[in-house]
Amino acid sequence: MSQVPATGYAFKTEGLSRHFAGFRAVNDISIEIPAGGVRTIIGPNGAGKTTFFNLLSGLLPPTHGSIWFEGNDITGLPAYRRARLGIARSFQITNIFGKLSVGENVRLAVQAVYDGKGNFLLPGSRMGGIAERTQRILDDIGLAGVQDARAENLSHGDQRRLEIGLVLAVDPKVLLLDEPLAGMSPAETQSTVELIKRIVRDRTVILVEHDIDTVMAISDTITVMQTGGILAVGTPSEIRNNETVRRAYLGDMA
Amino acid sequence: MNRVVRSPLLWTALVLAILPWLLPGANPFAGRAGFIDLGTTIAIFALFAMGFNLLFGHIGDLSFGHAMFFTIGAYATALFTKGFNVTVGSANLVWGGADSFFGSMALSLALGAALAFLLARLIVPRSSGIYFSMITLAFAQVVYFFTYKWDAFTGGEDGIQAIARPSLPGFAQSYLNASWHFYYFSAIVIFIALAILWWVIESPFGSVCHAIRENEQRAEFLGYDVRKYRVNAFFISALFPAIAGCLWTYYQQSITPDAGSIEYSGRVVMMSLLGGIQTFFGPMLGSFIYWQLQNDVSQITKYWEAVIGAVFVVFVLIAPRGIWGAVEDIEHYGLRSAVQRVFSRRARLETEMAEEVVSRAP
Repeated sequence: MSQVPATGYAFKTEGLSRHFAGFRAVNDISIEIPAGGVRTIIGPNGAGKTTFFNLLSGLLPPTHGSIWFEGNDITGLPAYRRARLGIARSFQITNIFGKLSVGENVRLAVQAVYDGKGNFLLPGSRMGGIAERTQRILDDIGLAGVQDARAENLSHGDQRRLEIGLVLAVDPKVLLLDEPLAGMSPAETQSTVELIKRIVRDRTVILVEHDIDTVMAISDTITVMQTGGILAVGTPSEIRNNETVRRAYLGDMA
Repeated sequence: MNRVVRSPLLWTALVLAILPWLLPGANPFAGRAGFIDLGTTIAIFALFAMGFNLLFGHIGDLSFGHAMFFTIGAYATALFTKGFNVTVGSANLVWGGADSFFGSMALSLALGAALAFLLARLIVPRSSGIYFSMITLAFAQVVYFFTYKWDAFTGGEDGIQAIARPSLPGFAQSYLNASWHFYYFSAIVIFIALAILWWVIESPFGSVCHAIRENEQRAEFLGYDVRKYRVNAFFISALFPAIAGCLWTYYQQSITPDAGSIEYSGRVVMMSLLGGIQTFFGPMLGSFIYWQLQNDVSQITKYWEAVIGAVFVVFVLIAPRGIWGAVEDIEHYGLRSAVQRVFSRRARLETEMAEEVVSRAP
């Protein structure tokens, strides 16, 4: 589906900063996030991980600096335009269409690809393949059996999976997943990890996650953030053996 | 077969066909015009409210000024039919009047659409929530005072009187003067409009509107241009009040500035909430209940508005999703849990937990 672009990076930031009333949530970050693979961001609470996500996905405008996606400056683009370029995200607090059915949730996400192209006053059947694709996504996230249930009535873990399904359904090049495993049971975690491994075969997954064992197991690279800046970047084993990171964050966890 | 039976369009047609006989105390054989008139009022306001509700109930923007489109349709029809002779600056504008239903309808729609087009692009991208409601109200007041004050053009406070109903090709000149002829003529126009509205709500456009209502942020992050949908929904929802306004003038055969007042704007909000804003039929049911109450209670007490207000408050408290919404909840959850959901948040949580336990049982 998506190919690794010639530029070799998914995101690039230059001097990226976001201040909140003097507090520097993200402070002068210049980084290239390579395309492909699982790229995880870890760090203590308040390190600026979610703010960094919000800047990449367009929820917040930066105070300074610029953001590049596959060779294009996207700093000023609104969120929906970024989504159309292939940047999709999930949220820390589950963000789905609660009152709509599970199937309708996914169908809306699949259909989003046609916004601005297809004629939305015509029946959906003319936008080719939506039903099939919806079904495939539902199977993929394991919720085909409950597609008629209202999304708000699903268990927490299933809601998290549904949100990943929505993100997946827009066929993005990059998925930004903000703590996808939070609050999941061990079994749910296991199947979600399997899902992420399948997703990443032809896409880039950028992850914010606290479950350090899982992070070490599935990440290609790990970026450690602290007080709005970047403390270290490396492979899981490099990060595990990095003295600064051990002192600042990992402690005895890894 | 089931598909046909459950088709809302079939039901719309059926309800419009028998509406005047659904009114309590109605006797179709007594030949009393009152019920037909009440039925006509209900049907026209159903169209007004259902169009308004595309914006309010389906995408989630509350306009407090939709009567401006109703009154524009109404005055366009009145002036097109009666003609006018008015001096604007140094220009003298004269129109002799015309007897054409299609002319009136086209003009009502054109003027309503022009205003809606302008406001959609002016207001919608710049405001949402309570600010959006207030700005729509402000613009509606501008239109209202325009009709109220410009005596030479709109007749001012007295409005425009003695407007003839249109003649239809192939029918006698005064055919539509008979109440029930006019009712069924309106019902056909309203049915066509509601069929178009249903088609809009059922289209992918409509489902994106619902998505935006449920979670604007999620819709945006899926790649939907939320602003574009809000602009388009505002525009489309303004066309139906304009059609209703055109029919209203022909029905009343007169028009006064009231039609554009804040009271009329508020009335469709109330009807929609009463009937159920997240449903197609809700506002029609709301129109039925509102006018029925008005008709009955005003015969008992001159404080009928207070009684309607009290009924409204009770309904909002016990059926926050409106009557049609309550019916849907009962269908979905069963009567007992639906009642519990209303009266106890705790019961609601317990019901949900029980449902979860049951659904997880082997």
